[in-house]
Amino acid sequence: MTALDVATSDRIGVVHGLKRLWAFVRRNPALAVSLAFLLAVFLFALLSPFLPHDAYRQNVLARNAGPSLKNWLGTDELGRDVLARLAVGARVSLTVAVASTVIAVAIGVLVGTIAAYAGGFIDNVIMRFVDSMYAFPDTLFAILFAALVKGQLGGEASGLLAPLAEAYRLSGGLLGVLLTLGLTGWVTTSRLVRAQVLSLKHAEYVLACRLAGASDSFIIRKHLLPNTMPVILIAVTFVVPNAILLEAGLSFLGVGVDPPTPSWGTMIATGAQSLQSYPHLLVAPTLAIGLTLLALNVVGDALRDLLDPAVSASRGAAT
Amino acid sequence: MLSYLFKRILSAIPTLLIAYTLVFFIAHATPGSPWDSGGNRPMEPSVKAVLDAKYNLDKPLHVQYASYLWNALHGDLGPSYRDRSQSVNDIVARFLPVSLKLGAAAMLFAILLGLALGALAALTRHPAVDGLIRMLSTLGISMPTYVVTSILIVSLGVGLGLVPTFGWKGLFTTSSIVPVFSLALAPLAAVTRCFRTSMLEVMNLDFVRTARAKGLKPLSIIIHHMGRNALIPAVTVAGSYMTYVLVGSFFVESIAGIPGFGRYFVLAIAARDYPVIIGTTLIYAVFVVVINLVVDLLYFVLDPRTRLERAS
Repeated sequence: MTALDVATSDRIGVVHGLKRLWAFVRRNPALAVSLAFLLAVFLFALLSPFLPHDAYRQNVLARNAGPSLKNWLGTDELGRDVLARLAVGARVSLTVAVASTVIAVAIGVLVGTIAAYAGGFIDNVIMRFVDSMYAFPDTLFAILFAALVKGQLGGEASGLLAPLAEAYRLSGGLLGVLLTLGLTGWVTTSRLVRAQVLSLKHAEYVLACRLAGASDSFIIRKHLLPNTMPVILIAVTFVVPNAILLEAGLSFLGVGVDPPTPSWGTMIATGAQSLQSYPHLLVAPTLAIGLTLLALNVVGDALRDLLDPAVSASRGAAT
Repeated sequence: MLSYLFKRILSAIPTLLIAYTLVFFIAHATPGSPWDSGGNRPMEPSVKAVLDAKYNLDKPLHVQYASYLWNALHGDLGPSYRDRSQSVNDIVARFLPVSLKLGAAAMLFAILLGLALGALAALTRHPAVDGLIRMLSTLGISMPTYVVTSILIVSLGVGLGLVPTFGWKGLFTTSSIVPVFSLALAPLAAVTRCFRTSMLEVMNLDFVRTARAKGLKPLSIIIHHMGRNALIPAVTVAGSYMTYVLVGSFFVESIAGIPGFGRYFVLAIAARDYPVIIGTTLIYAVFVVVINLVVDLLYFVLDPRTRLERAS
């Protein structure tokens, strides 16, 4: 096969894949609605600087105002526009989701691959540790970790931590949440990847490769990792919603994003304090996060069905 | 069975030790001493030194690590820094019962209703019931507890005035409806879905057909033959949701204003109350390990086949 043939067949493959994807979306209206909603949230977050109101601008004369033509979703306890704050909150949520997922999945893939490929004693030690982390509720661990990161970076840091603390301050606490979720969220991924690499490790083509004299790193890079891709994608469908859920949870508890940066979690927390008098302050962020997570789960379910029906069935029962 | 039980308990020890070690060092690496919560009124250094000495905070870290572990093993979880008149044991005794009642009620509700709904769905196989269950499980999996609590309080409490919006007057009052349901939604959805699937699997097996052919009453077949076998996966799923209910209580208790252990934990984190944080986390860890053990042992009771498997 010439290079040209490969390129054309690749292009045909992509077109074919897109067509299949489109047919799949059309057969599944819930998926279509969810994708549209997520796209809308993404655009909403992207366009937040161009909204008519500023998310940080206080107006003491119009505090806790209900929805009106001027402020579509009303204003909060400091007179800030709720819609604008939701938009910046969406930005926070999406940033955290993407960045912490990258960190968590990278660690998970690394740990899972090393454990499975090395085997023996190393595998035992790593999996013992992973099991302990698994036995422990991840939210609990994330809360403790977030408090630690916040304490270390939030105050006056010196030495090596100083640039990190500066970045932490500039990001309004976002960096702390990213680190927390990235460093605590890799456990599921590592397990999935380890199982996949273990099953691939003794495949005949890997054996053939080794007989031909390929190095470990070549086998891992060229054969094991590409074949682990579907599993990694499946892991992503679990990690992303969990990151959004945990970010809001941490901010809700006061160890996430720092005020005045809006987060859906902090908005829910302040809304909960005055829910009797101003329920709209609670309803808006609650619906935002609820619907986003719902949409993400629908998309994740569909993606898992598409990638591997067996995995999705077994995981679906357990989660 | 006894040797298996012994092995399981032994294997829980490293898990607990890792949990303790992680929590201890995370708590102590978190800067700021528990005494400087006042903010604009810093504490006199001499007073601080005396307090540090009293609570052993002036000792090297490894000494604190060992002595706290030693005391914890003897049932003493230390004093609370935030509220110096109480020990962590007092706090546990005061706040844990409310959370336990709440969590147990939620789990019981989820399991009983989940089994009933799952069986109903499997037996009728009506598209409407199936659709309802799919909706329930999607909601249950994707809606965080704080969202469910908020929506329920705003709609039922503020909107309709059916339930109080804040506070706790006991399990058998209207004040428990929203918290119990919020905590129960996710496990309810999972148990329903799981029990439906396993009932459908069991339904066409040989022994069920035999039981039918023998002319047993349908209800007896459903309960004794199908139910008992289909229960095993559902038990595992319910067990895995215990920790979910535990963590969910942080949020539910904070929003609904329930004076429970979860709410206290949240407040302790803000106050850097190390013994309370470490103590509660240790209790949670023990709880999780015990629950996992109980779920494993339930297999033995429900399914004789596992006894042979594990024994060999």
